[in-house]
Amino acid sequence: MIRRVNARTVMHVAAMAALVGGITLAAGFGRPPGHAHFTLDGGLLVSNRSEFRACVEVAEPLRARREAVLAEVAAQLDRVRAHRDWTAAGLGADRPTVTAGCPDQGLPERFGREPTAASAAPSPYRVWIYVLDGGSADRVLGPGVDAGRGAAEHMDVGQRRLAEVSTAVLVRDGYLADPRFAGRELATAVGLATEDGDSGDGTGGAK
Amino acid sequence: MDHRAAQPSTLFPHRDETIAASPRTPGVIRRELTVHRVRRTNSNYRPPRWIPLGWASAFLLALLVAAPPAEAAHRHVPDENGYVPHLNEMHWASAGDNGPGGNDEQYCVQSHDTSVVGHTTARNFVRETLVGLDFDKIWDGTGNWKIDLWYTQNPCSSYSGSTRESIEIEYHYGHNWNFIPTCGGTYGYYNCVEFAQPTYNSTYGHYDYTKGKVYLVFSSGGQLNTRGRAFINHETGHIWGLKDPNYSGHCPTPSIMHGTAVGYGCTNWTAWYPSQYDFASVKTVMAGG
Repeated sequence: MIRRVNARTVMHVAAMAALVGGITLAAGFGRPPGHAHFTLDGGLLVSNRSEFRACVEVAEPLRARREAVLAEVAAQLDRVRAHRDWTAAGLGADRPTVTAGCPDQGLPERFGREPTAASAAPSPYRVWIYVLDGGSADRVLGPGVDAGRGAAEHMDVGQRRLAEVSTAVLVRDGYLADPRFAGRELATAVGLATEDGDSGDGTGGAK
Repeated sequence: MDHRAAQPSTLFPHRDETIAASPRTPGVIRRELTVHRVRRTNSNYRPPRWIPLGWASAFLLALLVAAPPAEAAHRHVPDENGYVPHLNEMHWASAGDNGPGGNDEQYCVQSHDTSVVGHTTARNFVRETLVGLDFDKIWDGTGNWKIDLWYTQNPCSSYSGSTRESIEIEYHYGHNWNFIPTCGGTYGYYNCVEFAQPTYNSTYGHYDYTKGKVYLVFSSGGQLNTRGRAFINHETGHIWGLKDPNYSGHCPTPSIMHGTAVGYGCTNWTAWYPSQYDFASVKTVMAGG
């Protein structure tokens, strides 16, 4: 038997749906699929990153060996992936993907000097790796310094707070294959514990 | 005279619409007018029994969606963004008090215009605010010394590389921070916080930050008075994972995160130092939130 539905009943139901739907949308639950938001639940740090991806920028003098450099970076990332906390830290189940070319080619020139921009839609790359030739490394990192780290991208997390969501790693070409590069620099870049703790030395700290 | 047409029908609430009035019969016209008046002021519509239940459910659902999670103060609570960023070392304490240990928090202070405030003056003021005053007014020592603050001898930029990386908190004094996203805005006078060096916290299963940078402006947070102290404690509260109010006038409990000196339209905390609710909230963050 088909019951006739009163128009006012329909209006009640529509108003109820509008109330719940409107508030849900206003509360942000209706954000469009793919919209990036900040998260600390996993090491990818941005909701629309589903796998670990790294981009690699190779200095011009090293162009001829670019493929070999990319392969070495991939091998080093595989070493980091063997870290005991990789999976628990939410860094992805698959092998890291390495892509040639980073969104900001000029980052090394500003390295350590000014904060990076905040992006509402960060890149898919959790780590940006810059492989420098000897001359560039001396100029950017300093003589005798093999690697350095800094923020590549920030996200505005509201309330006048900014959070690093992508990390830049600058490495001297000759240090790329060194196990310490993976064990120290890359592991720290993705937030995994290393053997080097914070000693608290070197600043003359006082109470 | 038949008055039944003016009585609301419970079985057929709209049956009165079918009453055909004869315009030639005055009595019938009166009856039609009566019927219309009744329909406007006292509907015959009686909703199904489930409608009130439906409305109650809709309101309850709306409340659940819209209302912020219950919180004692500005607690570190998972929201749609996950955990609130905070400093990693605050989860642990170091043994000993002869110098900064691996789990203690070192801080450096730097003035970006020493003609306004010198490095040492700024550092001494920050130190006094965080460490040097009455124990119930300072962040230092919170959580059985999980917060254990130590100043560095020199300004932040005097350190480089791994040494600067090992300093957990940086305080910067300046006129504006327009070149820092979210700190400048339209007016360029905001105090703000930047979190750097994300690190996995295997004990609690979420990401923290190794380093926090506090940027203070001379026009408010950079003043060397109680207002400046309030902003130092407020921004440092962010470093420990405390949040601002959800909106201006949201004042759940007394808190330095919405103290009168820092705005947000609240009047339930007029002091420049953290409230007992703030200390309790930070201890919750320390315990994994």
